Amino acid sequence: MPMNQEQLRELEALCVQEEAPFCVAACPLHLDVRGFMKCCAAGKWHEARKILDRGLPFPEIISRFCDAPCRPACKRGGPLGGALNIGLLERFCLSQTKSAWKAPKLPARKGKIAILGGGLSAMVAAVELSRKGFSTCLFTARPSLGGRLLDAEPPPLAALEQAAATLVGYGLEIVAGQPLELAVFTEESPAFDAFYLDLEEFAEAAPTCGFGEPVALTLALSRPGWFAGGQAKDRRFPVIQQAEDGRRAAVSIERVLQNASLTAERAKEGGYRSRLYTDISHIQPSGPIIPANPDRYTAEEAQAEAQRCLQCQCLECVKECVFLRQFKEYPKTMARKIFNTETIVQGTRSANKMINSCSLCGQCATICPNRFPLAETCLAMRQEMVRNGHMPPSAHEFALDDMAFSHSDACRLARHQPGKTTSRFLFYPGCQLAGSSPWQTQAVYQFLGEKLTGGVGLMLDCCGAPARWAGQAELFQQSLKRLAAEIRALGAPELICACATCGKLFREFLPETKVTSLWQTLDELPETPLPPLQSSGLSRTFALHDPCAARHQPEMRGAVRSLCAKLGLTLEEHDCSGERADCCGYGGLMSCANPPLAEQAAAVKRRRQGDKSTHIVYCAMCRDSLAAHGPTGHLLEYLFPQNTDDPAARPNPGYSARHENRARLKTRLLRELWREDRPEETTMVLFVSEEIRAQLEARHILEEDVRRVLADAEGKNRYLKNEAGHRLAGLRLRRVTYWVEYQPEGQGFRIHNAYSHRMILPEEQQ
Amino acid sequence: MTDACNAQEKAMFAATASLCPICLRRIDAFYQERRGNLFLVKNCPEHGSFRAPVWRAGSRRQWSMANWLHRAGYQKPPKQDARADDCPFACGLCQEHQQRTCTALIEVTKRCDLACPVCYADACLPRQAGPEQADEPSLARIAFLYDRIIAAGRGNIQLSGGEPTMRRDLAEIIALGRDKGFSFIQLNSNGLRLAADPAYGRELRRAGLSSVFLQFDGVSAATHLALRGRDLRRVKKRAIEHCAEAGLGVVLTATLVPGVNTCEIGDIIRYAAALVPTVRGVHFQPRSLFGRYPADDRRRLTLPELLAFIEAQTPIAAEHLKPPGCEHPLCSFHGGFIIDNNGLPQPFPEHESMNAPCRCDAATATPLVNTIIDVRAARDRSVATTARLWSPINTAAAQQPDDFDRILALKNRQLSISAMAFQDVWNLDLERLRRCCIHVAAPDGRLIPFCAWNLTAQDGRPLYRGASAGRPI
Amino acid sequence: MSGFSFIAEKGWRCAACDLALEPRPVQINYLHSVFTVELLTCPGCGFALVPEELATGKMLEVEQLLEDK
Repeated sequence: MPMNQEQLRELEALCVQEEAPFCVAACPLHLDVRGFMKCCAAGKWHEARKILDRGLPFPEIISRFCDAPCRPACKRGGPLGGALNIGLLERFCLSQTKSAWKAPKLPARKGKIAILGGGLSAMVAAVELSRKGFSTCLFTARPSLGGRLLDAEPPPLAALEQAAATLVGYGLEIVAGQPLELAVFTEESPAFDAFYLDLEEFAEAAPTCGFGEPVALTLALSRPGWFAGGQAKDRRFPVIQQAEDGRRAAVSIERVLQNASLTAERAKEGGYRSRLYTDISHIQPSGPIIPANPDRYTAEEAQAEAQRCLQCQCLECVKECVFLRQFKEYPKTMARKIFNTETIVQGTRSANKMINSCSLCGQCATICPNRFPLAETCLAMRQEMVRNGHMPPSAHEFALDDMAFSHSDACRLARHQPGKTTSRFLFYPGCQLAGSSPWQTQAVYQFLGEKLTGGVGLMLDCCGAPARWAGQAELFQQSLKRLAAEIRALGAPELICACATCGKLFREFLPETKVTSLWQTLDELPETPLPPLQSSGLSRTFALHDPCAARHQPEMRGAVRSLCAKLGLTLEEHDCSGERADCCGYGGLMSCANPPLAEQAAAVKRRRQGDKSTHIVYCAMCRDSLAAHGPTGHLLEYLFPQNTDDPAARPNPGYSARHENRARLKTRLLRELWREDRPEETTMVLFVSEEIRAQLEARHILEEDVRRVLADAEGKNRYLKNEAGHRLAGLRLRRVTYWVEYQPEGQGFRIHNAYSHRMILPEEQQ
Repeated sequence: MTDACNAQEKAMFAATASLCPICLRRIDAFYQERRGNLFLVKNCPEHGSFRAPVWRAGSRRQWSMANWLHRAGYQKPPKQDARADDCPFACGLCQEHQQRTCTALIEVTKRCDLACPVCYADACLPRQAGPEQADEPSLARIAFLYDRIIAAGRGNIQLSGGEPTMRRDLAEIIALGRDKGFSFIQLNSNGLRLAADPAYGRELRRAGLSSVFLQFDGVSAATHLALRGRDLRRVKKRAIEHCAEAGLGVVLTATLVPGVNTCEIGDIIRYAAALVPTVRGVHFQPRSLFGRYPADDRRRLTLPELLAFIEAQTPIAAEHLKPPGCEHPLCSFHGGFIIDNNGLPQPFPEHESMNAPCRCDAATATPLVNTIIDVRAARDRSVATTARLWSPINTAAAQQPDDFDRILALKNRQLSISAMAFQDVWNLDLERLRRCCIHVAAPDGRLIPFCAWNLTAQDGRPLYRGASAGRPI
Repeated sequence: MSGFSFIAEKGWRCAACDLALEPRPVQINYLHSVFTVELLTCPGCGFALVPEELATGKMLEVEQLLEDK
């Protein structure tokens, strides 16, 4: 496994979605305030009452006297309008409902407990312990329960009577109205196993027993089995704090009687600061509802006040990421699922598709307050799957084959500038730019050759990103080694990368190599070709999309914007650009492993900026992915226009064209720049309708492979025929069998249909 | 093969150790075979000789102990050192234990809403509970036990009791386990509460429960009355329905008592087959003699006899029920099956060379589909019946299913059939105990092998369960 | 025992042998698993046709099932 359970727990802890809301954490009793507000906002008072009954001992008392330590933690506070008025809402809810839920009494257990005192902390300790089945007896010198509550104006007599009845119902024995001698309880063979001392009643007596001060975490006194709380000398002791003490003491006593640890895992008792993160930057302020009667809400007022609740949670990354939304996970749960994928459930691994669907773009980590490394987690699991032989072959094969093609002699080139024997620079356009915009690739190279001194070499190659994204660590290493050797062989020039992904990879994995981006190089030149924008009629404002790979390359992003300004382009920036850029769907091989999700990703990325303006990108794959959803142009097409056509109107050339363009580019460059001729095969002529072209694209079938099938079939006369004159042939290439239905037409063949499968037929099993 | 068998036989017949049923003192023991039946024989210097049947294959040579051990690839573990004399009194687990924890059991309550005579957990009705018997681990205690299990290397979790659904916080217990990273949490239950409350199953599922081991002793009223005191047939049916709605898998767990429900073994399997995929398996447990039952050989059911019943009452050939790779071969068997359209279990084709070291997923009823599947071979094995058994999948085109259809149908048609022979103080073999992979997490955090945990002397005195660990007197 | 409807298969004949195709059992394998399905095959040279409906349907489903094991 890439990590053990401990590391998984630490990783999971970075995601705060499951942390308590701020109010709940701050509440000494951890009342589910968020849930309460949700019910009140909907007018569901009975449901709201259930929450109060479940969360608070004696809700009528507490709601009246609690000074709401949750309010300072409320995110609605301050500039957003003011913290929710929890007290008024609780009291409204109580006024509208009867008790909705009663904790059941549990069966009797071993242990006799004495509670000394009758204040609220004693009452809370008593209710918790007697309900859990402990034989509990409460002693107070006062005639009835309540302690200093009885001094309130007016005293909550009805609530106290109700409380007493509840306590008796749970089996509490109450001995009231008789003077108490602590000494009776401190003698050597006590009738009780544990004691709680209510310091409100025993403020004077406690020090004389010599038991010391209660420990804050456990309320334990120095004598074993003794606990105390409910009041502190010389400082204001809120009622809610008394309730917290009562509960804390009850937990301590229960643990002591069970011989369990007194201190383990108690950090979240009492109020604490939640680790949750909630983005409030776009919340509109909304002032508190002022009730007509200052003492109580009407139903409408209460509901309106509760509707101001933000229902705090995190999910910030999920809000932006199509991948997380598709699989309905947030990083904590997703990490667990990823980690458990090696566990076989009913015979299959459960999370392969999910793990292979992440674009690895890191947007989530940028948004996350704790930088949850979800991309790294997915990538690590992919590497593990490859190591264990569990990576489904069909997930990434098409992209890896494409990379192999880029690495083959058909496409690869590494040369010094024509007429030069050294290179100070090496232009590295990247495989996808060469495939998508071969004309611009050549134009840029020639431009750089003119403007830079010292020799500008050219390397046509693939940086190996597909191997890295596919989890093929070994393959990636091999590719890097070869690249590094070739770069050294050219004299270790400085790389000028047109592609943000290539640049990012080289910086990370070839640290000895100097790498800069094409954009910075162009921006630093004294002049750039500036086509006459006005004359070509292009005077709209433009939206600029950063590629996800440029997330941590601010200089590159800045250079691009500077170039655009020089071009006279007015850019509209938007929320998810720069560090927060989306992936277009190509990253992480998402478009290979999960094409429908990649479609969604492209649509979302482009939609960030609406449809009013033309969109510019500076990554070839962003261009081709976004082009399906609206006019999108590559910046180089504006800097080096091939003609007067609108660059943004050009559609996605598609896999087949990108495939062929790479090989043709090498041939053309060799011929035009280095004056070397490569024998060009006469390419079989294919007639492909738009509909079929789209089908080939969707099915990941290259026209090159179609040609191979036909060449083999026609050469060996090995095909089927039907009365309509169609032919049907199949051929296994690499690890896929392609079937093509076609018909001779003119100089070539018309393609009627094509499909593929991976299963192997008998004659192919050599 | 004969030589190998002989070697294994000799190994098996070498001395082992057991406990005296009266005083629980550790004593030597050995196996004896008479007319194909294997007995464990032992002698206590104070209380005399004892003999218990362990493996009654009789004249069915194909299930002889030697053949079984051979199929299991059994090898006798190396000689123990002197510290092994502590076994089984120093469980926790001690260093001599030979198997990791595949399944960890947590008893979350002693309360139960049935009062079954066959109960090994000595559970009791709430109203009869004295204070000391109603001790329940708090959530904090259970968290501690989860942590102990994690420290021991994790495993599947089984929540047990008593009847765990008596705890109101069962969902929290499950959620806690899930939060601690346990991916498989199972519940042992009589199903009463699952049957009574349709939302209950959903609540448990949401909390992270994976499946339910449902007590299910038979299909006749008489069986239920004899073993559980009530006719529970409708309750069990409803419990299974609610589990189906909640997405919980169910394993029917039947306690077999000779003369009571051994005639219903086939019926139980057919009942389960009809309810696939909600029901994922049938797990048989021949009744063990814990507690206050006198030793009575006739009331014992050993695994080969169970194999015979299965063969007699169903079309299943016992050759498809295999020894375990994880625990000791004498402790269990399992087999994976696909239910055909007549509701009959067909053996799951597995490549013979696949030999997974640990098959504990069989006990948890998630049959492993090995990576080598020879569906064609399976078809060859039952050529004559194949054409009749499978009805058309796509009636619109009157198509007959082919191998693709069959493997696609596998996903929802699997049923595992397994059995586990728990040991009691009469047939206890410490070597089997040392290989046990089902461990109970005692309240103090020690991990105790299941049979040691439930073991009692003849007078009911427990070895581990409860306050006193029964050291020999 | 056929795995698909023959009718959709537009009357294909083997061009080399000029024979009509007939359903025959064919062994197909993927990832160590072997399946026997009936495919239209040329009785002369053994050329077996995998029709589109099968390739993009059940066959794809089984491929993915096996890849996930």
